[in-house]
Amino acid sequence: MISISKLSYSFGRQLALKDINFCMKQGEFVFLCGPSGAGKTTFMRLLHGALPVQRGKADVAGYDLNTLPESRKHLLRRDVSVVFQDFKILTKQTVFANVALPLKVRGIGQHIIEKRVRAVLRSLHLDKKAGAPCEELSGGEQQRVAVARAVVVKPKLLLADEPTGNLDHELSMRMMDIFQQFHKFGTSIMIATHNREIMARMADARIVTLEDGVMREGCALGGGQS
Amino acid sequence: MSVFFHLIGQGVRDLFRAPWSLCMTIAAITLVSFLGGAFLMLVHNLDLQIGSRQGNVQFQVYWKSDVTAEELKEVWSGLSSMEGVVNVRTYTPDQALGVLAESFQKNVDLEWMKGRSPLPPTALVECELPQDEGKKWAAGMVKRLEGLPKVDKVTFNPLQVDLLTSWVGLTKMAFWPVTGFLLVVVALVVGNTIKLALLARRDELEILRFVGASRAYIQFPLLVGGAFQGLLGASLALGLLKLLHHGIEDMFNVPPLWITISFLPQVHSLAIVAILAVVGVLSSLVAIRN
Repeated sequence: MISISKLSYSFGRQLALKDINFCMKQGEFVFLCGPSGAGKTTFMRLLHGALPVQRGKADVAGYDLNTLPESRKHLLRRDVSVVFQDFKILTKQTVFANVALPLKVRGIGQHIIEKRVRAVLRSLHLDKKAGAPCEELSGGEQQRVAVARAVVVKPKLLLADEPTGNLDHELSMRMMDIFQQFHKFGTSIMIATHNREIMARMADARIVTLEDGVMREGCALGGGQS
Repeated sequence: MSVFFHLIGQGVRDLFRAPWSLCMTIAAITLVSFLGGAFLMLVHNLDLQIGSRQGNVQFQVYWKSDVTAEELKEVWSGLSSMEGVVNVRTYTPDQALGVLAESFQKNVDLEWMKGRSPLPPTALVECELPQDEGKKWAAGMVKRLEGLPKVDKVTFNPLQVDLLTSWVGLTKMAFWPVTGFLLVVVALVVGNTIKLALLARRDELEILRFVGASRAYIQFPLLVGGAFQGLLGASLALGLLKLLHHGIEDMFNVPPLWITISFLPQVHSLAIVAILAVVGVLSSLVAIRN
């Protein structure tokens, strides 16, 4: 699913990622942990094609990021969904419109959109809020909208950047249950987090750590080794 | 196909998200297009005039007041058969008075002078000038007309044709630079509006990109928006031009000009709309690419 070799990325003179080698198989569940500023978000943005590959090689979901032109990056993004730390939802639009958006841009018919969005909203306990504008939702609800939007397209790979950052313990655990459900259906999932509790809940998940731009297997936050 | 129409609708709907910005852009495009259209109408009318008078010169022949109706009838009937004459219009003193009253428009009533008109019998003799030695020929024609019975005075403006030709030459020379200038202004206005729309919707467009929207899906509504602004601005400008034309249509339809101002031909009107729509699309494209 992901094959990274000697990947480096720098913002000006600041080296954010150093010579990263990483592989992720299809159907794997990976936690990417590390302290704030370790490079987790940068790594995720690279995987999603939001940042260009400066050095090294990267292949994600069958797309060679070194050669993938900007005009074809939407194909990568149709296979790789992202849950952003800051949600990136259209706050003026309704919950339904936000979740339906990725289906609409794929040209899927209204009837199917209706069915799939309703199903996902039900599974995330958002069905009663379907018609509400997102700006009226709490932080936790907005985060669930972001997750619903990411999973509604049944992506090959789901990247989630601190998906439980704004949620209380109970909601965090419920969110992890949802990720687990999708994982069972074959979606590869990578979650960037420094929440040890949720890592502990997924005992069979693989854990990799990013610290100062360097990646290594296992958790440096005191969690269990994979 | 439904996505295509959805995106067209989206492009138009998006414009109305910032109605004030849209109004000001449309106003700017309309005014610039109106200026361009008015200029085109001027050139078109000058062209028509030069086309109808190319190589021709008009002589005004005035008779003495003691000439009788029979004498006039005889002389006027012979005017058309003179060498080089292409058109003759004659006015009895009363007819000349009528034309004079018309030229004052509706405020002056000269009916009371009917039968006692102080104006002389007049003929407007339009002649085709020979290619060579036109001025010499015209001078000879003046002499021949002055030789007619009881002719008081013959006048003609030898510069008339030269002047008209020079005007057309000048406007034609200025046509492309002026048109180009106006199109650049339209392009900048539309481009800037699209750019502002992009800035205002930066977050939304970023989200669209992240959820897998293709470049065409994102850009097409913006191009439609540019085309729509061009179309609407051009249509409004044509409406304004029509109003202007209605007001000035007969402004010069008075002696000695007798010029009726024509509106732009249909093909020119359509060209204005099409060109502005294309400029709208192109400037949007440049704004998006930048």
